[in-house]
Amino acid sequence: MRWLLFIAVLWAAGAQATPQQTLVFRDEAQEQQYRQITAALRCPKCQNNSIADSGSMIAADLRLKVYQLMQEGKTREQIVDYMVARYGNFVTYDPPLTPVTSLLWGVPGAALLFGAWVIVARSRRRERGEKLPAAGQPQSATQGSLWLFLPGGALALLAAGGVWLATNGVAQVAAWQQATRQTPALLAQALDRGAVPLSAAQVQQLALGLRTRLYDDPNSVAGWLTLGHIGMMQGNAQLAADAFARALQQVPEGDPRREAIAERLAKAVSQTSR
Amino acid sequence: MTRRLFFIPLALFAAVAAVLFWQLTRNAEGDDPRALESALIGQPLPSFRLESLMAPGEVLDGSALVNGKPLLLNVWATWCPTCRAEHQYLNQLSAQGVRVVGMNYKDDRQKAIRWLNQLGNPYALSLFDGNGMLGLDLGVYGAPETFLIDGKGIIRYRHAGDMNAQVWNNELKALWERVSREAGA
Repeated sequence: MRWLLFIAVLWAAGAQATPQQTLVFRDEAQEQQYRQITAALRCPKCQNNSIADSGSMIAADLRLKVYQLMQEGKTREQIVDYMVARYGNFVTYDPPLTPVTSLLWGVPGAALLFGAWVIVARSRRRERGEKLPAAGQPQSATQGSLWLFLPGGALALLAAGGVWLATNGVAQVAAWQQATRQTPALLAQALDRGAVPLSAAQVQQLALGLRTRLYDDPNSVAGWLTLGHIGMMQGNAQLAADAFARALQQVPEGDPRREAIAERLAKAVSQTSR
Repeated sequence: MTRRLFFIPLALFAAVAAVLFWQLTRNAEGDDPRALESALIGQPLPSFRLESLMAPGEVLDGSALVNGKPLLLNVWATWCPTCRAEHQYLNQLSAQGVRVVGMNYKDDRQKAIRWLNQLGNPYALSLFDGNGMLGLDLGVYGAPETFLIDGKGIIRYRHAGDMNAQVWNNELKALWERVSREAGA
């Protein structure tokens, strides 16, 4: 019992740090090189971290592989090439020049040249225009120009409305509100052993509704326990472990319920990803 | 002439906005921008020597997988909730006659065997990659991932994430049929 609680507390405290393997380097320079290489490789899983920064499993594997390759005497280029061959150019922070990446370099320069050309061409024309005697129709061009904005404005409004319609979350909010409304009925159905078991979609709805309720009333032990139970039913051990940990926090020291909750928490934790 | 030039920025803006909007709707439909393209498409399956999951000590290599018929190589682990989600669909595929080979990735052997006993075993063959080194050679960055490998052992497609009816029908089925025809011819 005591050790179960101990595990639970350790886990709840977020003490998930896996013991870091101590790497032994030949000298300072090699260690420095290791740091540089791992900082120049991007973690494929966590995107904006280098493998040196990231705590994800794949980053740890890649760090170890870098270390091993260094011990085999591979150079920095060889190690980067090794990773690129497996994970693509994404994995290096210094991608090579390819037809696609050349666009990144080329387009700004081209835009700059084009802009310069427009400015030069316009100023030349104006100079020429000033030397010539004033031609006819000097004013008609500006007349009615305010009306010119109308189609543009209408187009902008239309585009904004279209984007909103295509991307808004109204449907999700409606589904969420419906889930909240149906929570009591679903909960009753779930607790009644004689009733029809909930479908997977209903369980999902119940979890959503329950989380909303717990947001309003975070002290409900029964609520957290139910959510944890649903998490286990859905195979979502992380959700279950979080919920059981919250339930455990609500139960005071010495309460007889603690033991059962801690046991469930330990079970959920044992099923979460490492 | 000059007046028309003024519309160029507007046209450029509209084009950029259209492209961004198109990608935004694709993301809304479930296209995960974090999914990476595999660097191994068109490359042969990396060579390996791994133990069988069921029989520790029995060593398998590439020749056990590549036998002229295409296969799906599914990377999975018991610590991965999405693997549980896709497992029933793999059972279905296997029942339909799709040859699925499992690669148990950085996992506990006993847990993995228990999982297969409980949830059914869709795998014609099960490899055990305890330290993830074949995973590294395959560019695996999480589980589950599924590779389509043709009869000659060339990797033709990689799907990162769970396998389900939608993914199979939209991304893999046509390629699977083509690769099967190639193998038959």
